[in-house]
Amino acid sequence: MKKEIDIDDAMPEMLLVEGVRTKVGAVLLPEGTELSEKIIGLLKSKGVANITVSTMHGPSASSCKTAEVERVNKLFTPHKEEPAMADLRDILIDYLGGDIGNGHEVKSKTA
Amino acid sequence: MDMKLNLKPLDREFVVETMKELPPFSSAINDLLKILDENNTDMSTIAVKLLVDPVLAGRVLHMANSSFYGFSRQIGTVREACVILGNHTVRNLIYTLVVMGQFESTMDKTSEGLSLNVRTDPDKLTVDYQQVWQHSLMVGCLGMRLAESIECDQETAFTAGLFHELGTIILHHFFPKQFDECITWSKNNSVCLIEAEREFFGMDHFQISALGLDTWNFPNTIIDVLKHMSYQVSCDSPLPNLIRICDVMACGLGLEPIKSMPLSAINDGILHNSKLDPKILRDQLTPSRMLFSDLSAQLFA
Repeated sequence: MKKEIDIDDAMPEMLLVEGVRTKVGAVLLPEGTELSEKIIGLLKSKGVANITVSTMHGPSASSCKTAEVERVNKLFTPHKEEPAMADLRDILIDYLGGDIGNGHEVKSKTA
Repeated sequence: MDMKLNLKPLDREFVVETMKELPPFSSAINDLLKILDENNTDMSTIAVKLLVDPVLAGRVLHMANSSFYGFSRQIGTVREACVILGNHTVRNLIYTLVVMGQFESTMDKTSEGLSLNVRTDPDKLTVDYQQVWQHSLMVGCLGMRLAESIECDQETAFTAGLFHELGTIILHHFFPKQFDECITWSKNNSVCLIEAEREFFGMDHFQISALGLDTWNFPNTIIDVLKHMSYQVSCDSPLPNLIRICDVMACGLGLEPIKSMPLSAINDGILHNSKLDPKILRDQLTPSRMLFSDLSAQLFA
């Protein structure tokens, strides 16, 4: 489920289900972005009035993350045998999927 | 693999010759860049020259106020922007804005005087130039945020990232039919675009980007990064490897230059030689997205 909300009603952890674009169609934030205080402040400073988000918590937000994880997995599938690509995929899934990610903690090289 | 092509692959020499048809900068831009090269020029003089093109001057001012430069207070005038940013940065910025302006397709801006515009009817495009620029901008932002951790220059990383797909736009601009077929062939055979371009044009878009920037006398530091990105295994210098990684990451973040294209994969050599720490890469994704959003509004709004 998605709904359009006023930017003043935006809250951290909401997920964008549609990218935020400028008047000429340039992407400000791609779909799947999780909102934070900083990002909301940025959107306000750019004059964005409305955004389209999934439900704040619960299955809708979770399904949005799942879709992002599936998209990344599909994109990287042809390269699953390449360890470097698997590393990048895991970083992306950890970032985009959050708690429904692959559970791989991204570690420092020196750790 | 289906090697049947409707159009004959182009000879590399022919592609290089065609590149000479790239429109030169106007004499006004060349004058401006020339005085920027003379390090002792008063920045007030540069600001006056820049104001010949109000649109370009305005964009320089907007960029100077973006989070890219991180100034705590508002910069109010073009002269002030020139003084604060300095000669080298203003030069890079003008190059960036002018070259991007050459290939605008969906942005409705009118710039007279300094800028020279090559516009294509958006309805006839199979490659959305704005989508390509937005992917490139994300690559530039990732590069800029990550460069410091591998002890490379942030501005060079940003500019190399921003222009690494210039060759895609140039190839599509000069050879639209061949490039469309190249894309179709790439998708049908699950071959990444850079390999498909080598089949069709004898070189890939990283090399074409380098040739394009060379035509416009960009600094060699940036051209060298783009040339080295074309290495199929990896190169010793960390920055070209870093930008290749950023290229993949930008696609993973949902900003592909051309939708549904196979990824231009990296290998362990590229990851290792980039000297990039995976933890730092993970930590810089949000700041990179923030920077992207800010600059996207400045560059494309």
